[in-house]
Amino acid sequence: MDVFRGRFDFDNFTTQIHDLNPGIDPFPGGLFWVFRTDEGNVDVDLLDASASMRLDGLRLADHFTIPNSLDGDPKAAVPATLDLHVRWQGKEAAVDERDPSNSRVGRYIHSLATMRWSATVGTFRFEAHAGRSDDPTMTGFAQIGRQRNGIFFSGQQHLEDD
Amino acid sequence: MAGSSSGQLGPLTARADKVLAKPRPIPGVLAVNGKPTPFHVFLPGAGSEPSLITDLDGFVGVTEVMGKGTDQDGNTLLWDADVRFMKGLYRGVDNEVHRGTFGFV
Repeated sequence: MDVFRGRFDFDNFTTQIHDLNPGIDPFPGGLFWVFRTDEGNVDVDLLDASASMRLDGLRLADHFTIPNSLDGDPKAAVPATLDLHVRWQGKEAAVDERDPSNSRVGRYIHSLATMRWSATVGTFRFEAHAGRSDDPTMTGFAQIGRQRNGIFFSGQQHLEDD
Repeated sequence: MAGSSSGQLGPLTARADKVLAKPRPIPGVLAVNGKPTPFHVFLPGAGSEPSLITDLDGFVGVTEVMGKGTDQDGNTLLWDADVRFMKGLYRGVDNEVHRGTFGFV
C-alpha cells in the first residue's frame, strides 16, 4: 500500500511518504509481503466471476518508501494498522494459462476491482476515496482464478522425498 | 470453470492442525533491469504468476489499483496498491498439505 504526495514517482520514489506491508519473512528470500488470514475473510465465486477480501485491523509496518522496505532494516519501519475491503468482478471470459517454466497452470478471469481502505500510522490517518463517483478507483490490472503450481502442477499431492 | 465459494477443491485432503505450517515462496524471483533480485514475487499482469506461494492448489486474486485519498488534516494524497489473495491447499515447510488463506499487500 503506497501513498504519494503530489504525484506518483515509481522511478525514484521521491514523492512517496508511506509504504505499508507485512514484511519479508525471512529477509530477503522468504515469503514476500504475505500474511495469513482467516478463511472467512476471502470469498470466491467463480460462477459469478467475483471475489472479495476483507481485512480489519491488519497489523503491518510502514517502511515509508519501497526502497526502504527492500533494504530490510527493521529499525526503519514503524507499526501500522490497515482496514481494507477489495472486490473483484469479472468482465471477460476465463482464459487458460499453462506456464511450465514456472510450474503453473490456471484458469483466470480478468476483472475490475474496487477497493476501500484506510490506515493508521501513529498520528497519521489516511482514508482512500474509493467509492466516490467523482473520484473512482482506477484498476490497472485485476484477475481472479483457480490455479495449481509447484508440486500440484503435475498432479502430485506430496513429494516422496524433499 | 468449476465454481466454488469457500474451498471445495477436490479430492486432496489436508491436515486439520490448529497450528499451520508456513507456506513456501514461489521459486521465481523479480528481475529489475534484467538482473535478478532476491525477492520471490512477480509484478501483476496477464501471464504473470499471481501467487506468492508455491505448491498451491487453490484460488487466487490479484489487483493493482490506484486512486486518491485524504489524510487526517484534509490533504489529498495519491495511493497505489498491489493486493492479492491465495486460498486453498498448500504444502507447508513441514512437507504436509494444509488448507490456508493468505493475503498480500
